[in-house]
Amino acid sequence: MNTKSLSTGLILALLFTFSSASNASPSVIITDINQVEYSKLSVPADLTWSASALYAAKREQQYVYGVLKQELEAQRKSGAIRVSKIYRTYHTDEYKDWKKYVPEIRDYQIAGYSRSNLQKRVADLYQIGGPDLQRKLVYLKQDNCSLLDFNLFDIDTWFVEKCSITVGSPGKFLRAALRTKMAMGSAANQSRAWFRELVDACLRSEYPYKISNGIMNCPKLAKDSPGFNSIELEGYLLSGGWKFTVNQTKNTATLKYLPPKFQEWADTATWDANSKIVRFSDN
Amino acid sequence: MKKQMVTIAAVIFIFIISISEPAKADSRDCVAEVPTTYRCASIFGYFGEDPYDVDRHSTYASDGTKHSCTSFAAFMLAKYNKWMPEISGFNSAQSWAVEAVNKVGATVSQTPHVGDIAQWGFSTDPETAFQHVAWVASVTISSSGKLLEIVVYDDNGGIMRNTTKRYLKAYVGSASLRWPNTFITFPKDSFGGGVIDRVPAHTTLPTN
Repeated sequence: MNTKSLSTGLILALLFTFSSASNASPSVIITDINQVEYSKLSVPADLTWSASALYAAKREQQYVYGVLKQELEAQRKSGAIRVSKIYRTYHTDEYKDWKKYVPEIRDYQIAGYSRSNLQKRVADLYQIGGPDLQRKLVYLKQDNCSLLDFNLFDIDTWFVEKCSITVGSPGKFLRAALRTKMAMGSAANQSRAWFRELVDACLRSEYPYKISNGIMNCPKLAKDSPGFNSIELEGYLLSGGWKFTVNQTKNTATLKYLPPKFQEWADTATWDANSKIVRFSDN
Repeated sequence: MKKQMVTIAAVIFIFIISISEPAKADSRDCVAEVPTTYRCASIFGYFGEDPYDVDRHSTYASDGTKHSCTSFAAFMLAKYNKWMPEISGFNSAQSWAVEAVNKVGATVSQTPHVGDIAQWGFSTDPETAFQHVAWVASVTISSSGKLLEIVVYDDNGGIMRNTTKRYLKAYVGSASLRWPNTFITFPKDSFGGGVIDRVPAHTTLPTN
């Protein structure tokens, strides 16, 4: 009898444990309300830019212009008389809204050809490609162009436009730079995603927590990583904000996204000579 | 007989306790704090900058230090893998898997390897998901080949602005960090050695 009842008890205990474990398995408990996604927002076109912002833009434009100019010179030295752009596929979902900021999102290589149509040099311009949207506003204007000046006695210069570099206005450049910052270094975006992870982990795991003065304290979150137990439920940075509303009865939370303070954020633009980039506040 | 049953009950009880905790306490973790925000990753020589210049997008902390998960990942790849200039043009953490596959011939899998870049946020709601990358320093497997845990090092932008070292229980993670969505294996260096020769070795523990 003892053996039988003990075995049954153990099996039931096991079943109970397994069913509890599955009840505690992840469920979506945070609902984003009034969600503000960066790709659905526009950096306003009427932002005013400070003198230091405009200076920063011109410096970065000069840098990108220099990279392109240098490459055209290298092509010429290699024996190329004309160059062509070879566009690369754009692979990611990032910058779904790129058309608001730049005429072309794809990076390109510059391939140079000699008079006898031999490819002399192909260059990737890593410094000016990639995620820096604003750098795409300084570009080789033509898809195919000549490195030679027009010469009546040289037929190779007759039907191909001379290569030129488009630079554009500092204002548009800064607007695109701010969009880059939103994608690549928005403290608000990173913070709310991180806090969301913590709130979710605490509630989903049914850990005990306390809320006081806008801080959710969930001690068990810190059991393996000290310092991760304290969650700011509400915050507002220049790059945007977040507000969690925790329903302690239902053990759920909602997360509200708050948009960036664009003009104030724009006002923080400065030139970062070390990284050769327009830098905006990290807050 | 009773003794045997008590022993079995004890074993089952311990088993129940062990599976009741989804993410076990682990004090081996390292979380750096101001003013030593690089402390957890400084053993690799990381101090906020990487040769691919990914740190141009890093976040500055109040003490002037720079922090970004992608910059640290780029730093570790520059240290242990072949030179891949394409990395300087990678987008944010959410895009790393797709960019790595398409631009440098990396492979992506659900199986971690030492030297991989662990990625969170891949293929989920990209703008609101937790997007992160970290470097896999060790992979612990049992003698029967079962994955037990990994150790990841990372740097963090956002509001954290510090480096960490964290132990993640296989397919579970830790209390505060989920198991990664995917693992990116980048091409090794041209010397043929790859990361295994130069980082903490792959460990195998004699467990069941």
